[in-house]
Amino acid sequence: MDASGRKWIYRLALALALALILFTGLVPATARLESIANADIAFCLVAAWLVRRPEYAPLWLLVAFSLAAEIVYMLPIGLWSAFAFAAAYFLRGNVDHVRTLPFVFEWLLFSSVFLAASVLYQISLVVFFVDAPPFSAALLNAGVTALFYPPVVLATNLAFRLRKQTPVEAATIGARI
Amino acid sequence: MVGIEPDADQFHRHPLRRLVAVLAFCALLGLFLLWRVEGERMEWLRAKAIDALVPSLEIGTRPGEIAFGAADAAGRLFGADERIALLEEEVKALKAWREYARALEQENARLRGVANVRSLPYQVSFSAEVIADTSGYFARSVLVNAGAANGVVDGWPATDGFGLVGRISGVGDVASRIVLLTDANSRVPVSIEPSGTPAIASGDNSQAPILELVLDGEAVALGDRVVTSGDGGVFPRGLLVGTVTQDADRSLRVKLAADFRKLAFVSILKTSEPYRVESGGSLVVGGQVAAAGP
Repeated sequence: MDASGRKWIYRLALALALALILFTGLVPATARLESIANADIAFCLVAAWLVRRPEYAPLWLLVAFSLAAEIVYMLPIGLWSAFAFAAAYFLRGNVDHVRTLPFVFEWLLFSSVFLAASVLYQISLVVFFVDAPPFSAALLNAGVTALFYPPVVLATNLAFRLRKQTPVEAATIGARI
Repeated sequence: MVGIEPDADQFHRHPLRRLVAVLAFCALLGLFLLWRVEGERMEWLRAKAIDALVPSLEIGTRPGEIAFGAADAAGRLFGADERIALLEEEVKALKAWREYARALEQENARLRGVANVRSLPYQVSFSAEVIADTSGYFARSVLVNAGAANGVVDGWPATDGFGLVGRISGVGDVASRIVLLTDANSRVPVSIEPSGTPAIASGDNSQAPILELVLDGEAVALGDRVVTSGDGGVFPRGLLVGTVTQDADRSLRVKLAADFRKLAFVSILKTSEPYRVESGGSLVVGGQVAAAGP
C-alpha cells in the first residue's frame, strides 16, 4: 500500500478510537468510574500517536474531537480545545527531541505539558468568571491523565503497531517521498 | 514539495504552519469568548447540535450499554440464591409496611381534608429514557429523550421512582438535560424528617450531596429521611431525596435514594405554572430566546 493510503487508514483508525472514547463516556452506566472518567484518555491517545507518527495524528482531528466533546459534555465551548491544541502543537514541535530519548523523558514531557495546559485552562476559567471545578480536581485530573499515558502508549504499540520512528527512518521516508 | 510532511525540526520554523496554528488557537479562544458573551445564543446552538446528535447518541452508546449490562448480569449470576432468599425476607417485611403505609395514607388524606391543605400540586407527566450521561469532572448531568416537543419546561423535577434525581435545566426540541443533585451547582431546599429541620442539600460532584445550613443539628439523627421542603417553589414538597449520613469529616450528607448507578428511565414531574423557573438553565429554548436565535 502506498504511504498516503496508509496515512488515511491510520487517521481513520484514530478518529474511530476517539469516537469510541466519546461514546463510552456517554454510556449511562459509566459515569460512576469517576477517577477514570476524569483522565483525558483522548488527549493521551492523540499525544501518543503524535509523538510516534505525527502524520497519522493531524491536529485538526484533535480540535474537531475536543469541540464535539465540549458540546456534548456541556463544557465551555472552545477553551479546552484551544489549550489542548496548543499543548499538542508544542508536543508536535518537539517530536524530534523525544524520538531519540528514552520513554521516561517522553512521559515527563507529556505530563508537564498537560499539567501546564490544565493550569492555564483553570486560570482562564477563573478569569472569565466561569463556574470552575476546584483547583484540586484539575490537579487530580492532570495526575490521573499522566498515569494513563504509559498504558495508552503500550496499547497503541500493541494494537496499532505504532512505534517511534528513528531519526534515520524519518530521514529516509522524507527522502523517499 | 507539496504534500511532504516537514521534518519535525522544521515544524515550528515553517512560517505558514506557525501562522495557521496561531490563527487556529485564536479562533478557538474567540469561540470561547463568544460563548462567554453570547451565552444564550451559543447554548441554543448547543441544544440544536445535541438535538441533531440524539439519534447517533442512541446508537453510539448502545454497544457500551450492552457490554456493561452483560458484565452486570454476569456479576449477578454469582450468589443469586442467597440474594433471592434475602429479597424474599425483604418482601415479607415490606408487605407489613405496605399495610401500615395504606393506613397512614388514608389517615393523611382525611387530615388533609379536615385541614384543607393546599400543597404544591404535581403530576407525573411522562417517563423519559436517559440517552447519555454527560457528566464530566465539570458537571453532573444526563440527557433524556424528551424535549420541548413533549412539553418539557425548564425547572421541572425528575425522579427515578426511588427518589429525586434532579431538575430539568436546558430544553432542546427532542432532548433535554437534567442537572443531577450531585452537580456542584445543585442546591435543593430540603427538610429532614421526622424533626422537620430545614436544610439545603448542596451538590459537590461527589455521590452524596452535603447538607448545609442545617437549622437544628441536634434534632437530626443519622438515617433520618430527607425530603424536599418545597421552599423556593422549584421542587414540590415531600419528594424523597434520601437519608442522612455522615462522611469522614463528620459533616452531614444525604445518601441519595435515587439509584444514580442505573439511571435508565426518569419520571419528569409536571409542576404547576406559577412555580416555573424564570431564569432557566444554560440550554434555554424559551419562546423568546428561540425567536432571538438565528
